[in-house]
Amino acid sequence: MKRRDHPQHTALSAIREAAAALADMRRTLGGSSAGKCVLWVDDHPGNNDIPRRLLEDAGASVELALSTAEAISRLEGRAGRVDLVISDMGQGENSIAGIELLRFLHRAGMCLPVIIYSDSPKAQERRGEIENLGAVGPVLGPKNLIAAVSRLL
Amino acid sequence: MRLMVTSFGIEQALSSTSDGDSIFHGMPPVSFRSVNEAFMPDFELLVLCDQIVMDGSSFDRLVDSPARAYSGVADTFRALRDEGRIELVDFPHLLRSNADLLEKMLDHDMRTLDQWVVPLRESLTMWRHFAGMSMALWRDERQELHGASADHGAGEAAMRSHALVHEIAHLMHRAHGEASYLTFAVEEALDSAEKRKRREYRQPLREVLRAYLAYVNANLVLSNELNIGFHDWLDFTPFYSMKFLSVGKREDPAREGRDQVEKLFTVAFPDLAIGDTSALLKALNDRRIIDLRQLISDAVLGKVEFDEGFAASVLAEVLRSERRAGRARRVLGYLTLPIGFIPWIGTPAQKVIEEAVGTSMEGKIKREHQWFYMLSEIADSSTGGQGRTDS
Repeated sequence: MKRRDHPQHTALSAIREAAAALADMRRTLGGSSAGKCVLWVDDHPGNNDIPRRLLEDAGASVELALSTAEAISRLEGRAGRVDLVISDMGQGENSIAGIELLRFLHRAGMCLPVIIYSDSPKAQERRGEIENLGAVGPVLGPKNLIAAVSRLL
Repeated sequence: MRLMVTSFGIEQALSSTSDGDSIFHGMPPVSFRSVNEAFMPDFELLVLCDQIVMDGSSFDRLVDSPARAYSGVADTFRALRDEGRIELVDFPHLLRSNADLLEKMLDHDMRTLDQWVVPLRESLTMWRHFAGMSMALWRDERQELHGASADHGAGEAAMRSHALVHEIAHLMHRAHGEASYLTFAVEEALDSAEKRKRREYRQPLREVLRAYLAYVNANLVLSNELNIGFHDWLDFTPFYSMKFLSVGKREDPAREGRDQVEKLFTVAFPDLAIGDTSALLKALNDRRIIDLRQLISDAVLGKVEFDEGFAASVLAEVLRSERRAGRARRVLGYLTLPIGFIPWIGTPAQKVIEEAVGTSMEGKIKREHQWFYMLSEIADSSTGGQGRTDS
């Protein structure tokens, strides 16, 4: 008799380990983000579903901006009500959009904690500049992001 | 007792899914009670078993190239094999010859999805607890990876640790892991009956349950084929309980026995717990293990309750026995005194008689609670003969 594969797509170990990782991130986050407002700048926000939902589950309100320009316009209007900014590095053709946001905040004298969340090589090259502009990063992976958020909030 | 020890991911013998690079793949269950510098074998269960039945290739994987987290477990199983206590069987072959049955079982299980909601919720809770306990160990493995990578490039340690990172930290480094999204959706689906009705939650729930039940069914079929009980990861217990309930069984008997040993070693006599391979082997090779197993059987049947009262009464009885044995020794000393006056051979003869008769009398007096004396002696030998609280 011909053997038929079970229609099983995801390995059990991956499921259990993902559950463990999620629980670990929830523990790391604790109550640090409850009631806080996070502005998240990314032209592909769908990439950040899990850490964003973790923050929301922990009581943070997360606002999305699809570009640095949009983020700047929001911050100009209500900087005092944003507790943390998370930004990617590259947006479309602009590979240093994250740096441009940091430069704007620096010039405007806005003392906001900012995390550059990116795995791009360009972000790695600019680590020194990111730190000089007072930001944290580049942070790689949701676990490290959540750890950075819990430290900064 | 013969017992089958499961191999994690064994159901993949029938599917195209593979998690062969996970450190858990093919590994036996480990203790959820304690995690030290590495995973610990489930000594509470092993002490009940004369013979362990395992999958051959899983055993080879465990003893030949264990991940660091599994090194202690590997040592124990190696020692058990050297003592002739491991019997190897080809699990994938058994599963392949039951492929049709397994398929039917899974189809049957998946028809009523909601019956598995509570078991899955309980299972994930247990797993998260264990993961929380052992997360520090996982972090150490990750740090070791970075260190080893820096020092030795892609050395063996780095390769092993990489396997750990790849699976355990699946989500931590990859935001888009399918498993992560599935798990997230399932967590929400488990919390809300309303969400479970919606396709975007129901589908992930189906997929996760399918993975769990394919594994659970594989172990049930293997156990049935081998006609012996089995021991699996603790977090699958809620699934087995549901399965056993449907055939009129309260609980897996092996699990009940194991739970009673754990109770004995955590509630009644924590100082006597078997906590390493050497102690396990001493217990297994001691005739008095029968007494311990009988005690555990009595506890499973509800004849004994391992609580603090039990501990107090055992200690009181042991002390009484010790006093009686002491008195008997003294009386024996008086009775054999005349032998000591026989010229030349008197004193040695007196000693020999005292020892022979005394040991026999003591054995009779201490016939009760043989298991306690055995565990005390093992505990004493592993602590270098330093005094214990029971004396």
